[in-house]
Amino acid sequence: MAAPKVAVVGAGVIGLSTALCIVETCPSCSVTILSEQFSPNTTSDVAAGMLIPHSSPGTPTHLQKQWFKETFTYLFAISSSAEASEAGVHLVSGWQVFKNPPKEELPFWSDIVLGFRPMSKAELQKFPQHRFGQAFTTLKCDCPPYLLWLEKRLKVTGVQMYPRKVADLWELHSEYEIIINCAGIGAQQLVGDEKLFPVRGQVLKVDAPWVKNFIRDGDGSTYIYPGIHEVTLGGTREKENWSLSPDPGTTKDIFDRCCSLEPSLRGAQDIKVKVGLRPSRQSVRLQREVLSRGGVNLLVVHNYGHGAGGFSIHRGTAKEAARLVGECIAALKGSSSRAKL
Amino acid sequence: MRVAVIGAGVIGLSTALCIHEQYHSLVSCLEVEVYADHYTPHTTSDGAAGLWQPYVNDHGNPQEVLWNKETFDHLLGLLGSPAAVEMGLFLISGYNLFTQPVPDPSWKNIVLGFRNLTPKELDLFPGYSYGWFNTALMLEGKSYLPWLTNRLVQRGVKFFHKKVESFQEMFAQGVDVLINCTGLRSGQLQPDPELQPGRGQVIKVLAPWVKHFIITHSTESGVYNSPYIIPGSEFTVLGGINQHGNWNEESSAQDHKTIWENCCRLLPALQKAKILQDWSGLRPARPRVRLERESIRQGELQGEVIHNYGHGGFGLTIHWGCAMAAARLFGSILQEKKVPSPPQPHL
Repeated sequence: MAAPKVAVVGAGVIGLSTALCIVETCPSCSVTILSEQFSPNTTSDVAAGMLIPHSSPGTPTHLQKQWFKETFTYLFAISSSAEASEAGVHLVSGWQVFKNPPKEELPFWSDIVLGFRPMSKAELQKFPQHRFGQAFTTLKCDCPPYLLWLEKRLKVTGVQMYPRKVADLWELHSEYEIIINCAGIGAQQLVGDEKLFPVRGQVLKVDAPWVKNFIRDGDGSTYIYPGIHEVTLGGTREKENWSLSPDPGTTKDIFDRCCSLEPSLRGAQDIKVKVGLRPSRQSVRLQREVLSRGGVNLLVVHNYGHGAGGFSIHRGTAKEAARLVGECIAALKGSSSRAKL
Repeated sequence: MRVAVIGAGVIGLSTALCIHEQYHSLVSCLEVEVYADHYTPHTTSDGAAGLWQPYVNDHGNPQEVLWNKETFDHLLGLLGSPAAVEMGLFLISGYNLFTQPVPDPSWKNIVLGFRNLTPKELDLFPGYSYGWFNTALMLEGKSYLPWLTNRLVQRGVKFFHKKVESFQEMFAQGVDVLINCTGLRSGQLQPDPELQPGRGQVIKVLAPWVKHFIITHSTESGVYNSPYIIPGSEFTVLGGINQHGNWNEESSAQDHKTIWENCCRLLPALQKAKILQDWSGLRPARPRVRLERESIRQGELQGEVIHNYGHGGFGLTIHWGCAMAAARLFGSILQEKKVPSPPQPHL
């Protein structure tokens, strides 16, 4: 059978990492990436890219843990290699602080990040409004560098990338045999998934190079994440808000909340505002589907709905998606050999 | 009462500030002046990365341990203030790495969150089997010295660009008390065989993805002769040179190669870092800090000297505790001289 033709729809962190996993596990596949947006204009580019998992209520904890661990291990190796700066992957230490006792003393990911422990009283003195805290070291994937690095690795293997807004998966059926749907928030329109909804996040990207540690309020609403060239200050979580326009009142609110956690931010320069729509869902949709129309089958692998946790589990879900692609290829081979009888 | 501080590194400027802050309202006509042949950015303090960290092995001097603590606590208290960024003061976390287990340092409870490294963390650093993680402070000399200078200027302290050749020359001019903060070249004012240069060289690079300090230690090489990486607010400092007795202030190609190769082995991602420049400086090394009074008498000239030098590679780390101690010595001089206070307002 000729090399299966695979189209990946979406070029955010999920689309690019899934394409890379497919190429790694199926070198004979011909993979093409089609996306309305590429870096620096994807949702992933707005995110800070911190490896701190978010709860996905519909996904079994053991799976979340497995995907996070796979992602962390993968990025950990990159961070200690010569590629780290080009890939934008680096270690960062810091604190998660709580005004009220945290729901879990030991989150499921506490033994995957490095050096996780409760904060000492002396450390908590820096946060007079908070009474509990956790200290740990984790990884950060800066975007655009990480996405551009993935694109570069893909191009080296011969993967083609085209800007294209796919309105319907059936558009692709004559050119491609397997479609990987990594359309993120775009999946709502693309496949009509009403369980998918945006959670709008506004962030500030500022110049404050003296900030070397991350600080995060355990309620998830306020965070300070130092990246290579900018510090990301956040944020908001607005369910069902589709607006991509920055809101000035929100900007001031985010800045004030972050300054109360880290007063030195008052001296931050060059404040840029960005907005992204987290593609949120009860659980990540990671499954095969066979679409049928007029006797024709279209093999689809869905990999979308990562909400606030895309970076944290991207490699794990990409590997699972690649495994599902393997199943699709086996199915194609099976049906083509049956056709010969 | 004329007080002249000789030396404008971190020790001289902070001592001048401490003395002026504590005594100018208690002493009528207190004049504080600073004399130095080098000012920021050309002092030894300017070249240091600025990491607050005492040596791993104390000389066992409990006074120095206390001065280190005073300095850390003082700086920690200033972290949340609006001045912090201007001072070059910020928190930083990082790693100390060893090839074998070592006892905990005297400063383990001074820094924040001190703990041993986990096996997974040690995987990051092949060749090192033991280590510590903690959060400490950075105090960048290139920002801190101008900040101290501004505070002093605001207080009316006068500055003179001049190389002082002797204590006597200052007493002859009418100076009452000298504060000797001449660091490495104290020996030129008064021979001190215990004071030796600890020559250091560093490479400044652009590596903004590095967010932690990484300091390695080797019992064979000795303190600061083992690679270290310290990220600052504008550039990252690579180092690991400490040559006792070497007075050469020129950067050496051999040392550059040593630093570069060792640091890249420690952190392979550094290979892509952009090299900005090398810098060399001489740590004013001494078995212990000289912080004491001395009465100098030569013929008709007499005066008091407070020595505050010999802070080796931990000047920024210990400076405030020493400045306060020097100010206390100044206070005792005032008491002995029964210096008059300013007149009290009559109501």
